[in-house]
Amino acid sequence: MSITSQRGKRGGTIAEFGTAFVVLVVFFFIPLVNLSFIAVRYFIAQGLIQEYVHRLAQVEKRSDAYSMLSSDTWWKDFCDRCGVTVSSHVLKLQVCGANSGEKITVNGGAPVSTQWLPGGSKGPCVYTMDLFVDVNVPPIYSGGPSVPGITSPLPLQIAAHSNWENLSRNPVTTEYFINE
Amino acid sequence: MIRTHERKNIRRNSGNMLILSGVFITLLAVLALVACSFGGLFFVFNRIQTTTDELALTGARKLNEQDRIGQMNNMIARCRQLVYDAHKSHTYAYEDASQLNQLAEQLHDEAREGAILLEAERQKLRVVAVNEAKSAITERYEELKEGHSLVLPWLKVAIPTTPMVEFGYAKDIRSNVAELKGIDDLEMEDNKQSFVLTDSHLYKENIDAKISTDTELHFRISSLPAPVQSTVAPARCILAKQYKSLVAADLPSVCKVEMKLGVDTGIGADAHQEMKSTGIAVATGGEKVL
Repeated sequence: MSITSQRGKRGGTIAEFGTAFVVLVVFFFIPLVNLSFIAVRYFIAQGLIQEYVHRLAQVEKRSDAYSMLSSDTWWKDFCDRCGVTVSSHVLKLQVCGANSGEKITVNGGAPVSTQWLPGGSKGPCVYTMDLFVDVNVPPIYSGGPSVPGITSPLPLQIAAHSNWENLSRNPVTTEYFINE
Repeated sequence: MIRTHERKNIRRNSGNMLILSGVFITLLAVLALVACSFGGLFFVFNRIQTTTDELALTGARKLNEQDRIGQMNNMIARCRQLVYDAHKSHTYAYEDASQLNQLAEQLHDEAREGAILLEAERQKLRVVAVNEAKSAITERYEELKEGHSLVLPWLKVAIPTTPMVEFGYAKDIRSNVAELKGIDDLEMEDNKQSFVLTDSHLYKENIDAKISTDTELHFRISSLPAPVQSTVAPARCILAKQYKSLVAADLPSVCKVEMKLGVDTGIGADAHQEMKSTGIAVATGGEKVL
């Protein structure tokens, strides 16, 4: 009788362990791996967009940068292959003047005013091409109720900057290339 | 025996989950760290790209230091004009003013000799500019290379390889020499041979602007950004598609630098990769001729 009451309790531990293991994997391990892949995808997209804006800043004329941005699809395709979807993008030129806090942002093909051009009264200025890209970064597993970052893509904005390179003038038009 | 069995059952079973959770969390942390490192490869690439661009700019600035290429281009264009004019004067003296023939012949010979000397100097300048640019790049590389090395248990970034340097010119960048006025015949000849561009009135890049009256002489004019309204074009990086290799013995105005960086992920038997980056920069433009 006394021997029966002393039956081993270790079997109960095995049952508990199995349940706890499933709970740990499903509610902790998988969501965490899911979330960590968002970070990886973000880093890849950020690196790629940084590299791309660097190329945009090296073109001859500013209008070339806009036309290159609208015609190039490789960077979006690459993002797609990494699981990151590009929803929209904006390219701007930011000009920072010599005095701290003085800066202007030029959108699209709008010209930079004379005082902000090289040799202008606000100078010497720093010209930066800013590319803002709205992306959706999904986790590996998605589905079920829409929780951004956990079960559905996380919308993010990636900003990349690169200094505008060509500060010379066009010998034909005598205009600065930055204004063409 | 029974006592021993009881003692064994008394052993505590709690704490298993704590150990398991600890193992999982550690595993996840390592996974996340390794994953972020792979994402960081783009950061490493951007870094090597910045260094390559800087080296290319260093070389490009050296090429036209103190406007030596710009001045050479301008001297060649003026020397060409002088030879043409001297030949014209000599022909005139020979036909219509024999008393001036000897002097005209002497002036013509001097102009020709000047052109030959200038061509020799141009070739020397090519060697000097290229060698100085290479030295400047090597010097800067020695300063920058150590900053790239990174050793982590799961990621090793080596020191970048010695830069491979090439020199060329940029597509769509003409010469810095403005069309010279004063000799109508030469202007007509230049237009006929399309040496001068009609829109910018600049001489074309990388041409041997031989004159019809003396085809033995070479007048090579190289590509270099021209000054516009006293604005000198600063040295700058350009896209790879704008780079052109030099086909003749022209003076270079663009410096191309290629570097490789070994990246070892430390995972797997063959996880060594080489990152390649290319930086291309165009030299400082020519200065305005006073």
